[in-house]
Amino acid sequence: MKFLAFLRDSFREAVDGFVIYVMLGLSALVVVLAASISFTPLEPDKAFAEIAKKFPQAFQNRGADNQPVGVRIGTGLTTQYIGLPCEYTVAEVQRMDAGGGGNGTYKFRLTAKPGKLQRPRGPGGPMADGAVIQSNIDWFRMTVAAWAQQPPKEETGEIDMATGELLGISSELMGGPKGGKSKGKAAKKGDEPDGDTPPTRTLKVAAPLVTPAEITGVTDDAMTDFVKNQFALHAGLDEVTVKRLDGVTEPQYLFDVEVKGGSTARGWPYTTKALFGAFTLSDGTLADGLLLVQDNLVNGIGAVVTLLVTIILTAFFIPNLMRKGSLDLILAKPVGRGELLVYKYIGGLTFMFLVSSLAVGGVWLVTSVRSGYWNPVFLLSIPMLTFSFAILYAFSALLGVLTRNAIVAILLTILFMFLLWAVGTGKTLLDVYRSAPVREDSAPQWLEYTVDGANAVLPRYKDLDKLMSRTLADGVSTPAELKARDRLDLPSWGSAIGVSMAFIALMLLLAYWRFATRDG
Amino acid sequence: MPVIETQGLRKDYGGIEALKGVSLAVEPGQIYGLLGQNGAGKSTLVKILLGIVRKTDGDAYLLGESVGTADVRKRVGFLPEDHAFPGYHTARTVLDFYGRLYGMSKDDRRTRINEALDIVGLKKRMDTKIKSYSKGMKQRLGIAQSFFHDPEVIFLDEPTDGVDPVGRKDIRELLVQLKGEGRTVFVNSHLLGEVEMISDRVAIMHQGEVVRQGTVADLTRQADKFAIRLADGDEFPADELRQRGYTVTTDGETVEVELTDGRTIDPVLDLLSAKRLRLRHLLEMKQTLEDVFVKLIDSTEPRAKRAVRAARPARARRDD
Repeated sequence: MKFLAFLRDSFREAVDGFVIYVMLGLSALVVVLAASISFTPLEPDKAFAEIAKKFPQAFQNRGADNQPVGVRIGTGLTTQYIGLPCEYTVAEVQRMDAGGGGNGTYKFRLTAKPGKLQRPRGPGGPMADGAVIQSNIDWFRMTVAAWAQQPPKEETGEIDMATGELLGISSELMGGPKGGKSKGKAAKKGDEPDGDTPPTRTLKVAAPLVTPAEITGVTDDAMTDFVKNQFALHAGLDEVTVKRLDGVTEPQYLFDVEVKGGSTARGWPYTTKALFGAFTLSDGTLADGLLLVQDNLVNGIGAVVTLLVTIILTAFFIPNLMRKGSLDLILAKPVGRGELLVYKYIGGLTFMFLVSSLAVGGVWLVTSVRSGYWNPVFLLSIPMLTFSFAILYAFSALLGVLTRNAIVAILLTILFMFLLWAVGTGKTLLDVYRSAPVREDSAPQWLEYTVDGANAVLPRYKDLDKLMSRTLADGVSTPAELKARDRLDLPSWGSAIGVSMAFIALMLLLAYWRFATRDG
Repeated sequence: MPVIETQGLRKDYGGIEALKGVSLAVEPGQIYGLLGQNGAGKSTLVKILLGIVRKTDGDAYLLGESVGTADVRKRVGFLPEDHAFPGYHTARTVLDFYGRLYGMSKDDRRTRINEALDIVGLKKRMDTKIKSYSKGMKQRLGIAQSFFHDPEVIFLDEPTDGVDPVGRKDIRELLVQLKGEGRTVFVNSHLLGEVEMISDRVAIMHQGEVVRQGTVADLTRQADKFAIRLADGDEFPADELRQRGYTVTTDGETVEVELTDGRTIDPVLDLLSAKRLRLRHLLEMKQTLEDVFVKLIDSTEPRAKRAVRAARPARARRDD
């Protein structure tokens, strides 16, 4: 009964000002905005063509690994992934069954042939032609050979970012033993500039190590397995039959493909338009469109705005309670100080829960209706957003008890929120850097200690965000999209929530201790 | 058994003694007035009794239990000085909120809130936001919240603060009514006249100590001093009485006779009768509580010194 009394009291306090109405208005606006977004599946012929365009991105170890097959240039933070240049086209799409709707059995021809090189970006933009990777190679065979390696083999060398010349790469990929023409020509990192020659910069390169025997040894079965794997990874289409056809000469390859599935497949291409079709948001998969709304709009910008506004709204709860004149009135009632603090704290959280329920629930409902994809995982954003706020509000509550000043509590809590974001982002960048297969330099030791130490003791605000994003993606993304996200190990839910809860408990205990030991 | 009892109660604020061993006892069903200047320690004493401020030393009991427990606070009401109600509430909703904290049932809350607000004259404005109330209305609401939950003991810190004379009279009558219902009313005030009018017992605090306590009659009685006035044309035999050992002072037509050494007024009256003097006015003199208070303060601390003391750190005076 006391708890409900405080809950009602906190609610009255929150709705007394105009800020709550601004917040409710913003939530309604987000819901309306989400309702204006349409998700339209592409026609099968265009859809299969779009799916096939993604096939140059293959994954090592027969698709089991998260690392892509291709060339990786640079250190962890600036790594560029360049897929092997193979072009996949689709023709003669036919529907084989008589049923209507988006799903059915489709048959078409898939062609694989050498494609255009994706050039790495140097200091002044994409590099010029004539460098890096040889073009007279059977890229499809090379791709399948590298894809089929168990375990995958790689070698490392260097690339001159000004000229694109390579050092130390012996793979066939680079045109023969030890990097062909490039050896000895590229400037070494740290070389002094020679006269008017501009200084050059080299970066580390990792490339598949594939032998000529492995390339010529690729069988038809390996090729068809590769194609099936690509449909499964990039489109979530698992019922696929592939047969290699004659009629073209290598390095071109022709396949007869039969697929069961359609627009409900995770990787099926959709056009996502906003404001009732006024402009296109995305031409990717349904996941791209949904995540744009759910992860970026609601869990990204929306969450930050909601957290900021709620911090401001609720920061007054405890200082107002502790004002001279108010505190004596309430302390004379049969309520313990610990109870008072906890009730006020939970009052703030409940407020956040209600606001986020309104926004997230509304967006979930309208996007589900509009897309036809009912995935309740997005509703997890409600407790997650509330938990993120619980971290910040515990800090705000301590400041409220210590200073009895709402403005100080608001400013320092927002600073703290920024600090948590900065530490989380720093830790992510550091982990990306550490996970790089090749590194240019080592990070300063003090920086690693500082970031790791701060991340160990501070609540995992950023980790929670990452985990939530991953959970959302898990519900809608294709395996290939998930692999692209998962190149780094995700933090565990246990550590993210455990450390955060320990922090919340510590803040509330400190607040209680200060509240209980002061007179009045 | 006293409903309020303290023994050697002490409170230090960082080396400044706000209470210096206060001992007092309040019997049930009384109106007990605690008097003192600002900074005397009155509010600190009440806040210790309610568990709002922690004691440094000594013992304090409320309704037979150690002070500060939620169970005891459920049975008492409190009107703090300079209280501030949340402005987002109305009188009805704030009392409903407090009623829930006291564990009152919904029916009880509805009935008692209406009654209490009717008693203090706020019923017509009970659904108006408190932030629009005048100071007097807030004070009346404060009094309503101190008794609406049927407490056994009610602490009122400056209950008539900000209230107009008519309202003050209403409050005095209300306190007498509450006493009539068997409740104990503990009033902190520096308005001596009001306390004198309604209190059964009074304690005077000065610089953290209780320097005097007793019934109002005890404190205001002037031992053996009479005012006498005779009919026009009759001359009072002052010299003769002085020769008999009485202390006689004249104030216009009125003569004050002070009895000393166990003398009574009867010989004086006999003398007037024997001399055929016509008695028109005879009154056993009393002093007001204010007289008692000022004399007491003057005797313990000269006025000049008090002025200096008033400038002591705010923290020590904060609760008083």
